[in-house]
Amino acid sequence: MHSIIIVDDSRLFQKVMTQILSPYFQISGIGASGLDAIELYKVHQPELVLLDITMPYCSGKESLAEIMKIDPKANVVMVSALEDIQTVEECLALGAKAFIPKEQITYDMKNSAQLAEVLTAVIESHFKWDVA
Amino acid sequence: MKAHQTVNLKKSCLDFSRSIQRSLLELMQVKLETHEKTMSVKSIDESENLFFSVVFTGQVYGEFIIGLNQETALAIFNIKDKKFDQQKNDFIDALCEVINISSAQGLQELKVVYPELSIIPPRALLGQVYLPRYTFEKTTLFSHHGQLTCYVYIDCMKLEITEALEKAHADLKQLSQTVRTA
Repeated sequence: MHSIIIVDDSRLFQKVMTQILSPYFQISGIGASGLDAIELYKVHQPELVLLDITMPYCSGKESLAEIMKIDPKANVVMVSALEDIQTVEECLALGAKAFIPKEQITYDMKNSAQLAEVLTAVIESHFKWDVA
Repeated sequence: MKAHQTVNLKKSCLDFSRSIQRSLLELMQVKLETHEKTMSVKSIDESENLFFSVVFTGQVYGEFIIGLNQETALAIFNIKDKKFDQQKNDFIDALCEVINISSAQGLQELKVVYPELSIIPPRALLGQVYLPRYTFEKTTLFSHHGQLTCYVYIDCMKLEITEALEKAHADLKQLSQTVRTA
């Protein structure tokens, strides 16, 4: 099983993501802030980080930049409610491998295998995000 | 025509409420019904004393709000009164996430006219809230336990000041040109 960490300031979303992904991945850690993401990455060095963008203290974007400094080959997938093309492009430029709208995860929960497939493809490096 | 007159606030409100309805079902297994109708009001309902809100800013300022009565909330979300203190944080966290996801859906319609809008993280307010007399678009979601109201409003003051300044500038330019010609 591939190892992942989930970082989101919403406990509800942490729970939802854990439920969806635990059959497919080893959840190495769960965090609630950008600072947690950096610490968890250092400790667990997971194969993938699922990172919320809007979080208190240290945003997902800031922690993404820090994680990419620690490990330029890190697989980070951004998750956010707001599908703002400028934010998506900034995250991809910083090194994020993909962006998944929260709405899609919420509404397609029954199709969790599809999300697991996308995340596995990111880990196995044959996923290419198409902004357009 | 002023830009803000073309904003379809009704559609934004409906998109927002549909997303609230769906998110509550998917994330919290709470089923609410809707009439799929919106109405314009000048204030929020006085019986409501629990609010979740997401502010959006950019070219204009505004807010998506969920309003409900605390007792109704306990019934709708099946929280026992004695356990409310224990469950309060989880409940508030969950509703904040629901409004976070749904306000992004409501915002899509507004972004047709104001593409640079972005949202600020949600907040929860307990008790009465007092807002200026904006025109709110509202719709209700309901079950046999009671109802939850979805509101959206836009404060166009910043935009109107900008438009007034632009008009004054254009008038001055015109006047100056007329004087020079004379």
